[in-house]
Amino acid sequence: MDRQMVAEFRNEFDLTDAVQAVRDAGFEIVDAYTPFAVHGLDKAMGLKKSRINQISFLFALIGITVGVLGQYWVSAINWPINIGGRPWNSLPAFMPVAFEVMVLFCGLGTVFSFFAWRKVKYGKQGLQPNLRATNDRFYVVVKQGQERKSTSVVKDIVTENNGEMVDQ
Amino acid sequence: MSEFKKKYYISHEEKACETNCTCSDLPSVEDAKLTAGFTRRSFLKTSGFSFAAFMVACSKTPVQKAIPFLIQPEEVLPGKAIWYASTSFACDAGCAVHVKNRDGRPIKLEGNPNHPMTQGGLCAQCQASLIELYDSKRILVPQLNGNKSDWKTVDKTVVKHLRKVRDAGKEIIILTGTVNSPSLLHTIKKFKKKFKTVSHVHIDDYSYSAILDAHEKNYGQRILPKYRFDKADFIVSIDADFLGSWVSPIQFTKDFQKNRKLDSKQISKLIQVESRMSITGAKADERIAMTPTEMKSFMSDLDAIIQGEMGTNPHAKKLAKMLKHHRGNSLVISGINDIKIQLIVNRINQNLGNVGRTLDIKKPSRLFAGSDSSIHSLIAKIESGMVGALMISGTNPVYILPKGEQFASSMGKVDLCISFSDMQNETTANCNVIAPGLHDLESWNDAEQTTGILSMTQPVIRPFGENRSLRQSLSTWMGLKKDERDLVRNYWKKVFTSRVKSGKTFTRFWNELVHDGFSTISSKRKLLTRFKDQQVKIDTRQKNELELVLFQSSQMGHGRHAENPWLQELPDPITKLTWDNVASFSPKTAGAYHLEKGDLIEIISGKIKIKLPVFIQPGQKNNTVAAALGYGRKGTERFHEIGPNWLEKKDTVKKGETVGSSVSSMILFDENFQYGGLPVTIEKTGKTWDLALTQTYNTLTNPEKTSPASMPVRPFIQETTFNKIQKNPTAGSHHGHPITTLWEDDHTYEGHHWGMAVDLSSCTGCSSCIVGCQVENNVPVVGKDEVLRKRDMAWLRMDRYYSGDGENVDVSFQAMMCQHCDNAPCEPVCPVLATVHSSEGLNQQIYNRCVGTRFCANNCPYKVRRFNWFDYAHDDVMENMVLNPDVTVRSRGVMEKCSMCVQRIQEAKFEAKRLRVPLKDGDIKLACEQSCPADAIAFGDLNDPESRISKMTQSGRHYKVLEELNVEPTVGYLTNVRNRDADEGKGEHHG
Amino acid sequence: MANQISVREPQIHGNKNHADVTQDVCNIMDRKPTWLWWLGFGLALSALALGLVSVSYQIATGIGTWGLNKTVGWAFDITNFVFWVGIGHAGTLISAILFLFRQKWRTSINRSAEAMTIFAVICAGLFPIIHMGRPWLAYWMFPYPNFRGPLWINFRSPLAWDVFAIGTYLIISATFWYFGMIPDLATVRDRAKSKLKKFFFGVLSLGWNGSFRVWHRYETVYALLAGLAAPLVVSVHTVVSFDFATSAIPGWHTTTFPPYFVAGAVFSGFAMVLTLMIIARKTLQLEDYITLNHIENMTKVIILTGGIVTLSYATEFFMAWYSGNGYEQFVFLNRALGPFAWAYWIMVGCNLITPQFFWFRSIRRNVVLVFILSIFVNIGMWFERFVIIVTSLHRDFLPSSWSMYTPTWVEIGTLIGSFGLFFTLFLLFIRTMPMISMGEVKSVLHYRGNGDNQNG
Repeated sequence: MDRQMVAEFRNEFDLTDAVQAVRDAGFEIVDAYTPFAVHGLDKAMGLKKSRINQISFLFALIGITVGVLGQYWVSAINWPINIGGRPWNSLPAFMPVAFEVMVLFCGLGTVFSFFAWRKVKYGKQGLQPNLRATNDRFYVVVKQGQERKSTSVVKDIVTENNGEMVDQ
Repeated sequence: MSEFKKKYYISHEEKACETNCTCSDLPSVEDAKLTAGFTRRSFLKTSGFSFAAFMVACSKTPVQKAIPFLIQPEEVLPGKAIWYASTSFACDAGCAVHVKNRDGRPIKLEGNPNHPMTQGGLCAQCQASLIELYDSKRILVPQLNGNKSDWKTVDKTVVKHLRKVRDAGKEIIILTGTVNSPSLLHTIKKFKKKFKTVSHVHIDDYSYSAILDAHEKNYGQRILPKYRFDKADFIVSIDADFLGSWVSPIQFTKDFQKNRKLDSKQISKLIQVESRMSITGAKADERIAMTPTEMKSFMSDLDAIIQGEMGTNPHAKKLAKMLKHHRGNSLVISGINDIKIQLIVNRINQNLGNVGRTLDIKKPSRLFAGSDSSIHSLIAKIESGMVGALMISGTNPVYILPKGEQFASSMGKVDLCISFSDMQNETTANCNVIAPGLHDLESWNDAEQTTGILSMTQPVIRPFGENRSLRQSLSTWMGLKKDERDLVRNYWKKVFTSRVKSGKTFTRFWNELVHDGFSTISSKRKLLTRFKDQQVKIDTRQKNELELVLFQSSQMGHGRHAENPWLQELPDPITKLTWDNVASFSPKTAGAYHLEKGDLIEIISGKIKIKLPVFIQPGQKNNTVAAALGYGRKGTERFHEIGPNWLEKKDTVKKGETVGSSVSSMILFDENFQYGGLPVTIEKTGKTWDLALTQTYNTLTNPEKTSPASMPVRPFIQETTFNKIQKNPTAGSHHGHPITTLWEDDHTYEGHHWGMAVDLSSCTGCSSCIVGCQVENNVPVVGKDEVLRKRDMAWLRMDRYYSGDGENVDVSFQAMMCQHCDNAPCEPVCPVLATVHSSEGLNQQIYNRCVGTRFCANNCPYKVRRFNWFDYAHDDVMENMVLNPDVTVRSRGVMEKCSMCVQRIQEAKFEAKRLRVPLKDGDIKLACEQSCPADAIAFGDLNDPESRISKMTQSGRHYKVLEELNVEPTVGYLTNVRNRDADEGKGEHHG
Repeated sequence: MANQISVREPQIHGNKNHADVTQDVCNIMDRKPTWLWWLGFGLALSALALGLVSVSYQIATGIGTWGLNKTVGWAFDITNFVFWVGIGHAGTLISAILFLFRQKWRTSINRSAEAMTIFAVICAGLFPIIHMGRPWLAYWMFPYPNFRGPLWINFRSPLAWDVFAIGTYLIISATFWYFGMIPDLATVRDRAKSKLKKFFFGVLSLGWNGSFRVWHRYETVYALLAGLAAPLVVSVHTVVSFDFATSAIPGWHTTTFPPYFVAGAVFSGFAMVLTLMIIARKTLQLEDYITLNHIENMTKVIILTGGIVTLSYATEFFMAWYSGNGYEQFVFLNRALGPFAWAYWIMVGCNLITPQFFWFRSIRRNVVLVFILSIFVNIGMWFERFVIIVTSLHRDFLPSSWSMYTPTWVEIGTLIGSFGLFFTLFLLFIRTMPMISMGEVKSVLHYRGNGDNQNG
């Protein structure tokens, strides 16, 4: 695989500007490491919108279906029993539970599918350029091109955004 | 109970002896124990204990192997109820009963509908007396000088002593409650022959002596007339609570209702004159409050006016006019035990020509024979030391006599005092011999309560102990060893020809007698002289500051059942008070003396002082204080630990104290026992007393501070007058506009649709239904503290509301139980479906599914659901034998409520199925329904247009409580109808 | 956007850089607890002990050890339940709804507010269980397949709805809370010295490494969760209000209950957050993070919700009068003038008068006053539930069964115990978990320096 260059920044604004510039210079951004979700960095890195919300909508659908049909089956088909003269299918009374079931399915579904995508490694020390990435430093990892000079280009952009290269 | 399924047996003993074998195969406690396991699981453990308890109780060789019915009595099938006809003497009148036997245990008494006197009604006392059979405190072996002994020694000593007394020429006194058993009287007569110096003295718990004495003066015979409330159109009752406690309330209620049929052209009119508020007063069409002294002047005026002389009393004037108008079918009675008054009463009835029409003196009642004067002479005799032996049976003189302590001490002068009581009481404490008697359910007996009708009592369980009846003991001491049954039977064999005018053979007569529980006999007519008028002078001048009124409450009587937990916790129909008696005052008088409810006061008459808590009773006459007899019995100390035990529990009675306090000492004892009119003063003690009331808000009128303009009175009691209902059959009953529902109706009730209706104008509020329900459904007794905390468990309660004020109030009763709503609000709120609706319209509670969220109870508009706050004690193993094996005993933490006796419904349905016949209306009688002496409760199938319930539901008087909530109750009520002119209506409830 | 500088007062005082934030927040966990913390913890534990004793005695002996009776079937038990559920609402509201509204000021309080939610819901959840006559059968409330022949729960019962609502609420808010904490857990992990701590937070942080590609999706999921939690929080108290609204008892049978209850919940919830935050910022020296701004904002929410609550009280009385229903009218007259009037007027005093003080800026920014007033609101809201439950039950339709209610020491002990449980959990939380969301705080610092000062 190609060599990568890592640059460190002191605040999110420098980082974002640098990333933007590096990408404009036609370099590929491998990833960035930041202590918090930096606003606008996604655009700078040119990340596409996540599709996870579609997944959670799917889960919500499953939830509401299970909720309504389940209750209907129990109260009207599997065990119809006269409760205070109410009809077998008391749909209005089934709404609260149906709603809660939907929310539950949707919430858990979303989170777990996120973890699934993330391939969580329990207890593993996270792979990051530097421990300060979760504290007060901002890193960007750039894919080094074939040309010799590319390194210097990146270096220049970094330095003019008051960051510095980290050599590993 | 359905007629076709109910079998009235001649007792096993009977059968057995027909085929001349021993009587040992009468179902015994062991049998009960052994089959118990099959009837209900929890009974196994119980019976395990009861076996031990039994061993302690008496020394019979137990059945070692637990094989059920190894020696199975004929007819007894596990789980199958057998019914015996009998008579219970728990109340003074004695109710004819059918005893329900399950696996050898009597578990329920029900009225015998065929009996001409009680006609299927059953009083609270008789129903509750069942538990006294299983009382672990019963004396089961004879006692000699306070120590356990055995019959041989006891008999030897007694006989030896009796001989000595006879030879010394001293008197032997047999002191009993009224004996109207021909055979027993015969035995006593024989006993007199044997020991010359015997005399037999009757003493009644509550004396009716004056009536008998008056008749002796007027007609030459000491008789108690038979009152015909079914014939009387106009009844004036002066201080006679004949629907609640006077003479024979159940019979009277039945008769009274006969002349109150609202579909007929006219009904009887009842005017009650009284000082306190009785249930007769509550039922009365008109009620006039008077002090005992006022009554006397009123009586003499009434008498005078009827004779055409002058009288000033306005009430007297009015009533005299009416009475004259109803000449011949009016009836004047008085509960005042004062010969002067009774002479006046007799004269009035004589002058009105009621004698022989509304009251029968030719075939008189034989319920009471006690004579006050003979008590006087008895005491004198004892004091003078002329008495060598005193035998006391069926009475507790030390407690009931005004000078009880004195009597007790004078008993010391008698060398031999024999008590036949099977419970320790004030009298037995002073007896050196206790020859314990039998419970009605263990013994053979007969009674001629009213001339010409013979009632039969037969044993339904083998005696728990070695107890013998009075009859047996006497005859043993006469030297004739006879089995009890033979004593009764042989007597009737002897007198058969003379007293039974019918073509039957004796055996047939006897079998029918035992089977039916009664039979008509002929008895020689007492010779009455023509009416001899007596002049009476009543001084009407006296005026008292405060007059005491003593009375028998319908549940406690004169204390005979003080140790009966069911009766102690049965709320008084009027006051709704349990576990206490009180000194009640009218609101005005209470105000005058600055008394608050619950203040502990002392009632003082001369040297006698009695501590009682104050109770404020609307409708009571001003300047009177009323207190119930029958409380303060020594034995009631036992209740100090009744009820669930926990940190904040307060004992029902403190150790060494009694439930309520005895007021016997306040009975005025001159020539008669006077229960009313004693002038008293009161003193505050500054202390207060908790009163365990089951109902604390007493009217349907909202508290005025928080009363909304739109609804000053709540329309739950709907009532009207007879005239109105004549013109318009729907008068008085109010219906909301019809309600439409959004639900599509998935639930149509094909087949049965059970329903119930209560006729408020029949119901007297006597509350025997409550006991009936309690016995049938194993409802626990919870004790005073729990009642105070408003946690009484009764499934059926008798709501009581006042309207009007001061001395002039109307009382309305409303039996309130689960309304079995078709749209039950309790059902949808239960998260675990522990309460659901049956296909026959019953609201069912599934105990073992209930987790106890209490949401159902909160959401019940009628508040009829009861929660098991604790594990209610079932540790008295003897007492547990009374439990109905068909009904689950509920555990802690579950909800319960009226099930419409679903076990009875099922039983009847199965039986009908077995016999392949359709279920008839009336086949199922609920526990409350069957015990109702007024036939106010009707249960049946709403889908059957011919059923009694359907007819009642269609009646114009029918209404439902809270029908505007659209809960569609299947229990309905019929308007309360009073026979009075509209303007007499006091605070008439309306909706 | 790079030169966007907030003209408003900064969210965080004492111009901190990112490292300072990490430092300050983690310090709370590192340094030894103060004597104040110990004192609080001791008190909380002893209250909890009292609660445990009361509850065990009640479960061993029976519900009879409570002051309930045949007429009043619920009192302290359900009052406490509704009270605690209400408290729970502020947390989710702050973290979810304020998040959706992009209210930046939430960042420094949302973490502990969420924790408070979870602990409150735990307290609340206990009561429906112990209030049962047979709590050991509580699992019957769940519709689990069984071999007892068809046997299910009653989906028409508000109590069954409660089971689902509270259950879902607990699970979702716990997830939300934990999910939001993962990056901070990683931060703690990366600066942890001790092996144990490293391992412990290593496990919890699920190998978080600050990769922005993860951050990117993480933000979406977080937003989604917030989006779910917002309607959830509304639904939960709506369902709780159904316990009463769907019944037949005058005073309960009221359609205005759902909004009324939700507003009340937020009202009491914010009061409780204030109480806790004010304690926390004093004892843990967080004045720079939980600023007067935060406090002021929350008091403003209290004014609003307090207003809604007041309106609800008025509406109830109006509707009672307007309905022309005598039973309804009686119940409300009875509340205000009946035997439980004292409770009613405590409620009115605390819930209607108290919020009015917050109209004055001086009071809003006076920590001590706000603290006292917030406690009054809590008292008032507890009494609101007590009044609704007890006064409606003790005098309903049939006067024959009207009765009074007085609590026993067991009930009082249980109430105190629930507070014990709540504070015990909360005090443990602030010692062991980052109680302020570092990541989010850093994101609102807008720090532009080079961050190289004393701490690194």
